[in-house]
Amino acid sequence: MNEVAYVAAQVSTISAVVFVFGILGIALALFFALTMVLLFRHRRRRLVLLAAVGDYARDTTAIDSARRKAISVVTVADLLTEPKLFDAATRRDR
Amino acid sequence: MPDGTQPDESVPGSGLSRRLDRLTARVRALFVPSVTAAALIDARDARDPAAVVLQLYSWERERLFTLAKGLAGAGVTVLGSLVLEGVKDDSAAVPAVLVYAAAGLVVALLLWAGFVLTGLRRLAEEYPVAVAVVTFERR
Repeated sequence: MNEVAYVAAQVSTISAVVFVFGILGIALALFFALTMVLLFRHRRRRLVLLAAVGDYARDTTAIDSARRKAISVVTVADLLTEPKLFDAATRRDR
Repeated sequence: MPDGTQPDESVPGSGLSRRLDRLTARVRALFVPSVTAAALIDARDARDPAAVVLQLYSWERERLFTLAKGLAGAGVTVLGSLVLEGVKDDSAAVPAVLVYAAAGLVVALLLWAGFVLTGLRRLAEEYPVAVAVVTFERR
């Protein structure tokens, strides 16, 4: 009887360890997935905003407050990291 | 026609997306120089663009210096409190976990201040480029 109890206790311990590590693994996978999604979104969004900055640089008169507010998050450092968009943003048509 | 009250389709993204952008920008400004490209573009139309850019970068440098000094001062204050607590020799009154947390806070604050100060190098690198951008058409 004691052997049965011993085996049951071991199985219970192993199950608990597997459960805890499983939860941790799932949490870790979700964290990395979320990080990847945010990084991808950040990259894509930054390109869109940089393109909008380029449009603004070409003609600053065609601007409304909402658009001006949206592109105000783009910094000079962002421009420097994207040479083609930097050229677009510093060129003026008129 | 966008009038500031309607979503502007020329800059795609939902309201949540824009709020996330602004939140990211605010958090980023706590660590690195953040002179906006729009301000630089606006400076091109000023009577003396180079002076405007100099003012922009001076304000940014001052902001980062003030932030770094404040962080370092807060770190030193916490460190001083820790030392005083140790000198008083009644450390049993303070839980050990609080002491360790305070010590960690000191390290974090000093590292933050150091990161901000080292980031000023990027500001110096950006400045000539910014001046070149605003003065290019006047050469």
